[in-house]
Amino acid sequence: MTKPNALCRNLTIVTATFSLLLALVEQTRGQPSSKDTASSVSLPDVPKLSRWGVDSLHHVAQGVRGAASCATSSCHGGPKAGVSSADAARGSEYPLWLERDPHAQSWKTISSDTSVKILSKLGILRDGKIADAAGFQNCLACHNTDRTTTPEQLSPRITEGVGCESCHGPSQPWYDRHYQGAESAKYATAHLGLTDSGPLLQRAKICASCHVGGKDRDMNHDIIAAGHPALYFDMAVYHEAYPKHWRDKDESQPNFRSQLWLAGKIAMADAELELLESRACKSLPVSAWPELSNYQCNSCHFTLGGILKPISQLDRDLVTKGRAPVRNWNLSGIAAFSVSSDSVDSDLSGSFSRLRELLQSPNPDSKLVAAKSHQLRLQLVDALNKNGKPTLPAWSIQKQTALSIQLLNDIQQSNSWEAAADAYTSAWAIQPRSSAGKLERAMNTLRDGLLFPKDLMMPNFPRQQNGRTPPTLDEWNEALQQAVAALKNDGLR
Amino acid sequence: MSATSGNTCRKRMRRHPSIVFCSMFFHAWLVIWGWCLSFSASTFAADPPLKTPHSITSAGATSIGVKECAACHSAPSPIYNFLGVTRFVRLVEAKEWLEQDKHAYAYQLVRQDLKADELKKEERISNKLSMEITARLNWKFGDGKFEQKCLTCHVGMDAKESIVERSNTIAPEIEIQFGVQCESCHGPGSEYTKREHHQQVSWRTKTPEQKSELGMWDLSSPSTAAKVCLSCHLGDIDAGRFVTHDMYAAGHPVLPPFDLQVFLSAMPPHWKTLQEKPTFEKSAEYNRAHFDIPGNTDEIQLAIRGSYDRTRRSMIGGLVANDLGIELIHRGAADPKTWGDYSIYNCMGCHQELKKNSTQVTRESRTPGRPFPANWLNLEYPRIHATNRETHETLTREMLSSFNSVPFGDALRIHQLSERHLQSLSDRFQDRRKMERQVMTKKDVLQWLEYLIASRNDSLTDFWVAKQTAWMVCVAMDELVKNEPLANEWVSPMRDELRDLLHLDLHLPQQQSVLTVQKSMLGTAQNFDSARCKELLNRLVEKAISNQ
Repeated sequence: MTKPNALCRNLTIVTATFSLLLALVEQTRGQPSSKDTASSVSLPDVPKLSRWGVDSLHHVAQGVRGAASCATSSCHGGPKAGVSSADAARGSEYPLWLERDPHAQSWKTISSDTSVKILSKLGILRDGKIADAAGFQNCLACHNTDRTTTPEQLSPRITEGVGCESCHGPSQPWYDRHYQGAESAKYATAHLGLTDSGPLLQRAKICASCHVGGKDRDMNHDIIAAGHPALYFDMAVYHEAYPKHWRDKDESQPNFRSQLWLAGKIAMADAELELLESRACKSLPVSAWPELSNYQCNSCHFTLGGILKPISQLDRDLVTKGRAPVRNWNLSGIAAFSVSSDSVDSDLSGSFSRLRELLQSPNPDSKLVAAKSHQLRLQLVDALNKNGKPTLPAWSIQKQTALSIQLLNDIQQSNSWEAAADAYTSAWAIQPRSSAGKLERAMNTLRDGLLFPKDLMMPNFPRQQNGRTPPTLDEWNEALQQAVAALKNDGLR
Repeated sequence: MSATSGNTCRKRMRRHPSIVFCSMFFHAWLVIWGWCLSFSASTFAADPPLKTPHSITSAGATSIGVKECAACHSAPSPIYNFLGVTRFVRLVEAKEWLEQDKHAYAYQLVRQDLKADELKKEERISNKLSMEITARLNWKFGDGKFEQKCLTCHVGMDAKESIVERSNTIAPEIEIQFGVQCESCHGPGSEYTKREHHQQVSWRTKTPEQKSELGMWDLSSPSTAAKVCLSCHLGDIDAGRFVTHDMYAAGHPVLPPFDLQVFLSAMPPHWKTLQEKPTFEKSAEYNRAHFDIPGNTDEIQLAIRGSYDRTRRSMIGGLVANDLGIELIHRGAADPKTWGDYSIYNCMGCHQELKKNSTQVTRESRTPGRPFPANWLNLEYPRIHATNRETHETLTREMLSSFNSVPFGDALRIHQLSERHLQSLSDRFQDRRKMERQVMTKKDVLQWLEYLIASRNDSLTDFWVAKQTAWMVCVAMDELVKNEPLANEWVSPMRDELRDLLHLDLHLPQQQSVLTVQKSMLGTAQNFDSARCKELLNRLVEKAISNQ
């Protein structure tokens, strides 16, 4: 019996030393380094941040087997007959994904004429050849399961698009384990990089790793300027539109959508901070500093002749000082989280507003930004911590309604497209809507208004038409009032 | 300026009776001194090469104030006519400047103690705008910032000499209410009015360089004049004359592109041209000091009378603007920490609508999404007389790529490259001096036009480039029409169309405030018909050449 004890002791010592080392690393990363940052810095996986459980997504090269290896008819290539229980796996995940999931079309997207134009403008493609391998891999990080493609050799799985392992993790390490019983699968999730897409917060973080970005994937201002659409992810809206190859037990719960919404907001904030840190460290060759997409589009992109009309008073004060307000879309989760936790985490909001001020100051110091973003991520993980992993805080429809009313009221002052869309998606996540008639009509008008009507909002993106006439400014404002009234009437009970 | 503002000026003159008293005193004194005047033939020292490019040095000279100048330069008495003084100096300069020149109003537009009805409506709006700007920036009269950032141009004070040392007070001898005044452009007067008086006969025999040593800048030289104008109209960071993006964001109107000839013709002239001066008629040496022409006085006169003086001024002004743009970049990039004031980038590079097919920003050869330098810096503007054009073009290319390599440009690299540009500047300055003294012929003008259009054809999609190019082309076309009976009927409709498309008039339209004009011009800048402008400019130049 002495032997195992000694082993235990040794293990404890080793673990303690290791944690101490890691703590040191964390410490140094938390402070701005006095040394000049090299042009490329690799970001270590800090254990606390690994609690999100999505690190394997950033190590795709370690072993992608490809979607075909999941598609055996007795596994995910079904469907299996007689599967009716809500919590049973469908068994038809692969054909569902292949037939109906837009992610399966990703290779088509990236080889379309539009994408080729974008790639050429960025100098990634030149004369039909890949001229910038790092740039292309940055594209593949989100547009493909496998990014081991080099200019000399395309990966055989290049046409797969965004397959199973893009979200569930590269399967080489866990493939043999994950179908050998619940315990084995649990082990695969805990140690081998099979992601846990069940809890909504983790699921949202998986989505946000591309729909916002992360330390090894940066969809930045250069790429937007070359023609890539700017990213406006919303978990609840996207989840609703998604052809699901799984079943959610809680789907019928009244607060399911608002849970999704909050999970999305929090995960997006973490992903945005991760991206910000990576950008500030210039850890990717494609990243640049200062990164302009960290700022609201309309802080620069407005017509000089029609000066400043569409900007909120708060932003206006900044813009008239020649400064750009920080883009809030991906970061509004921090405020939402502060509302969700009963004791408002003033530390978290304090750190957030300090980071914001830093970004809005002239020539923000990249090392300081990196340090502050990192610190904020750690604070967020701590605040979300329950049983050693980030967990969605309790969130009710009442809270969602109160927040939505506040956001909708704020639009009238801020008058920016982003703020309006943010408020709309927040209100949309309230389900079911009890005064369906009134609220539904108002929400529809608000949605149509977000298709960039005349005189209403910035920025002036190409107008989209879907057969509906956009409301006038008056109609839109009226709908706004009606939505607020209806929400107050029903939602707060 | 209208009659109303003239009245305001007269009122101001009444408020400052000292000007009139001084003036009378000097008149009396001049009568006695005047007997000594004679116009003897003079000898001219050889023209020494200048030490620095665009040197307008004035060793140790200080300002004496507008009243001193106004004492003589307000009204010529009959005695001056009798003595012939007015043949080379009009002696109404201070009066004309005060009553008609916008520069005299520069301070009124920004003064913070304006009472109602002191200015006419349009100018009150400008003043209100300036109050808003300073309120947003939190600058106030007397806090040093207002003086160092605003009055440097709006009074034409030298930041180093007059303001920084007395950060809270205005140098007492400068009467700021007179705005941009005599010495702001002609040079500080302490030396040329005291040590060696510019009223003495010997002054007429001094070379421009000798005068400049004593503080009086040689504004008859287009490159010196351009340097003087551009220190405000483009910017000079060391002199505290630089409209930053903060100031634009707070509401400062956009500085238009610069053309020396166009700007000079917009000013009410208080000067006589070299050709109008009596020394010009008399002395071959004097002419040679200004014009590099062999032959006797008659031949020189003939050549100069028929010359393309205005086109040359416009051309040299453009080249000087080019040099100064690089100086500005060089100075700005010296400190990477403060590098990157947004005002040095093209407005439309960022302030564009996110529409598809925007013609404003052509992205060829640039990384998408990165701000690029403003065209007024003329970094893409090749020099025609550069001795080492190849080097210049390589430098230009490298400069643009270092603006491209990281967002807002790589300050260190930009500093090195502009340093290399500037090292070749002294050579090019000699080129400018040479160009100034060469008579421009019709052939030169046509060559210049052809070159101008060819080198800028791609960048004419930019409103400001199109505007400046149109100014230059119009100056040349007008002079071609004036000197030779060109068919004016095809020139003027095209010129008029260009004027409307590009807002070529410098004067504010009647009853319009600076705000209205800014708004409509910025609107135009974003949506102007660049294809039509390009076509008009090309056709004008083609026709001029084919008519030859």
